[in-house]
Amino acid sequence: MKAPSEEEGAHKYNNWTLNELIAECRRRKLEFDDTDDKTDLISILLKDDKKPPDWGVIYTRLLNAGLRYDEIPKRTIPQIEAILGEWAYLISIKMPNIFGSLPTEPSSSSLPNDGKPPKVSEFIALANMFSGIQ
Amino acid sequence: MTNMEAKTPVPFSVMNGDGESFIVGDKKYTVRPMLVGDALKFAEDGLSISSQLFNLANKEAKEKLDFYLSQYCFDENKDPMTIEKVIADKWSIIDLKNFLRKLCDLSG
Repeated sequence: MKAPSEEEGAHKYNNWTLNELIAECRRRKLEFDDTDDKTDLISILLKDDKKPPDWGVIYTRLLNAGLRYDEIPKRTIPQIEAILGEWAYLISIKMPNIFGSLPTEPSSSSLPNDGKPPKVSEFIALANMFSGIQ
Repeated sequence: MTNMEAKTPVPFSVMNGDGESFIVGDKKYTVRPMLVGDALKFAEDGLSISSQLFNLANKEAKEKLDFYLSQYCFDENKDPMTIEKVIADKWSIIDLKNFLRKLCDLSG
């Protein structure tokens, strides 16, 4: 099996021992072979990390932890992760990649204003110019 | 201690839902973490973190940006921020990008 890349999140498990990876797979009730090595187990865990969260299970865990049903939506993800404790992996929401995939703004050296980034107002004015063309 | 047991202590500020300060020029703002429902919505909204031109040029994206500003960014008087106020306070596009980054960092 091909080793998972850093972009796939492999760094999360790279320092884990084989026994830790096996224990984590068992805890999550994930299927694996006794012959699976570290790479295989990391791939299995990463695949599981990418699954959408099961909010039924998450709500059940939080209700068992004593949170009221109507209180759950008023919590933040870091708070829910903290309350879930060892079950925090159930939440696999990832905020958008902060480096994004869309084109970035021009570098500051190519900008007017002596290299200073444009103000939001200037950007909106520029955007409005193009909106007339649509 | 094994890697599985290694766990960073959760600070009180996280459990209390406190925000973090955010400075633009000589003004200080507070960015607070999103509630879980809004965080899920944000992840699907497709707002660009890197390209503010998209967020400001697209009417729908601009409305979404305005929503997240008004819900999760507050000025020194604890009044919610809006795009209008961002313009009045002379934020640059880098400041706007930094706000969104901080919002993501705090929220997920």
